[in-house]
Amino acid sequence: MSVFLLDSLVVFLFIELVILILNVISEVIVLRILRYWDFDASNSFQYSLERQNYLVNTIISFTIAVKIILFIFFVKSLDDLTPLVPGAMCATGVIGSNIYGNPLLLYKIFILFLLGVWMIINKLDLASKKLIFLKKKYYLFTVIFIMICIEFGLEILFFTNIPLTTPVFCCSVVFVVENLPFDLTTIDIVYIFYALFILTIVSNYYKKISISFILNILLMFVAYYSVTYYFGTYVYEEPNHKCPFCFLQKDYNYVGYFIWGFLFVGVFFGISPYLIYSIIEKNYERLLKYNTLFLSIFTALCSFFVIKYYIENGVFL
Amino acid sequence: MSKIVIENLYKIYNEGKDSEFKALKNINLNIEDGEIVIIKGVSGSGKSTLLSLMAAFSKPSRGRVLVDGENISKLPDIFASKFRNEKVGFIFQSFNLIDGLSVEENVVAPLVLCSSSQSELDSKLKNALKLANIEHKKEQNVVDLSGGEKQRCAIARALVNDPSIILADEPTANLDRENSLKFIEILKTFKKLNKVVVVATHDTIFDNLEFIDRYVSIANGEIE
Repeated sequence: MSVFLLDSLVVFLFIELVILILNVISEVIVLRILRYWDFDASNSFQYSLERQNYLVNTIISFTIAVKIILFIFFVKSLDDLTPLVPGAMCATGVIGSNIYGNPLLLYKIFILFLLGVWMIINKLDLASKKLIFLKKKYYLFTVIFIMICIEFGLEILFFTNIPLTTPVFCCSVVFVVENLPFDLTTIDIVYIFYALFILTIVSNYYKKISISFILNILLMFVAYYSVTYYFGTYVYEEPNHKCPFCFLQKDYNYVGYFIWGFLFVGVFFGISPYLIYSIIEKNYERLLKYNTLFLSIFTALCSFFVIKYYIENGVFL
Repeated sequence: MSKIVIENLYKIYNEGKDSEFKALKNINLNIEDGEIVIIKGVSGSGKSTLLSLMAAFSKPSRGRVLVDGENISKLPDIFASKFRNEKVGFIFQSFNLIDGLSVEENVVAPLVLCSSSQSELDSKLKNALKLANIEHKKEQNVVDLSGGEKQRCAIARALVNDPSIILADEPTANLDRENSLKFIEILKTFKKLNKVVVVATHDTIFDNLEFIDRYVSIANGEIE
């Protein structure tokens, strides 16, 4: 039996392949633009490059839209694979079934962040009469293109190495021992999470983009542990059910997509201003207000399950 | 400094292919402020292509068009739209009005993109309708207008933003002689308003008019 018998997986990989081919075409044009671009020239070659520039922008924007949908589809596919993988009850079992799964998931999030930054730089570029950020945005795309090629290779390695006969460990085993960094306890992590959240809001208020960048990176990791080991247990209403994936399932009204979605979108807006400044030296601090908004929704959503449980039962888990 | 400067302008379709067609070849033209220029030529000579490049509707294959010293051939789409909205009034051969809307709704359409106040908007609308002599039909649906009235509605729309440049592509092609003469009267008004007007036409009614500053003949994509 092969995982490729699963329709959703075949569709997923086919779309990824189409996107990869479109990106190869884009990259060929991008390299030509990077080499020959001269905005002040009025010759036919430069005009042709300008037309191709619009084509590439359209392809990359399409890539970003599809990649966002594909990421959600990827996570859903992991869940869909659980009946085929012995021992897997949720995506934890599937993603941890070989060495490629977890790095691939993190890698995908990182690529999405970079594509998002590219999209903002592209917007700023098109808003300038002389396309002043064109070369920088295409250097960034070249890096992203290489990463997308590696991502496709990782996807093939991951899906072809999912064991269909050997039992894997699922969340009940993987997260049973609190594997927290620096020997911290769960409650320490929750305190750190709330402290980081408040510090991030304060930093955003004073528009300190470099501090917000660092705080958001820290917050993302602390939030992962907080959700997995603390807030998640209130979603499941079981003290020993610790899993970052189970609440993506229908049984929990797909609430996991909202929890992780608000976190990732929030962190994206928190780290983008610094990345944009590093790349094009333009201050785009107004994104920080979206960071505040999405992180607040994320924190409120996580806290909601704790408060709801306490109100209904009069105790904490 | 000239209002419009056209330098070594080419427009080539399917360049490098067997079906290559040079619509414009090495056009050089300077148009001064307040000048009225008639571009004459037979159908397919490249008049409309030249006008579309002057309005930044399309981009050349080589060369450039400068308006007030700015190279409009290089403008990204969003800036090209802004340029047209602020500086150019375009009168099309087939009027390009929005059927189903009234005269004033058609005329006011370009202002929707501007952040004008309601009173400013009303004043601009009234002025444009008056200049084009179509004020009395302002509430009428454009589908119920005659050819001449449609033309005047299109003129009002071209004028509503008070552009410094008016481009007209075969403006009398769909008009009878009486309405064509009325259009010529409107041209005189443009002259008084010190607008730059470029009319692309093959209509002989524009021949030998004393208020026209210059006639430019174009054939096979080249200025003669």
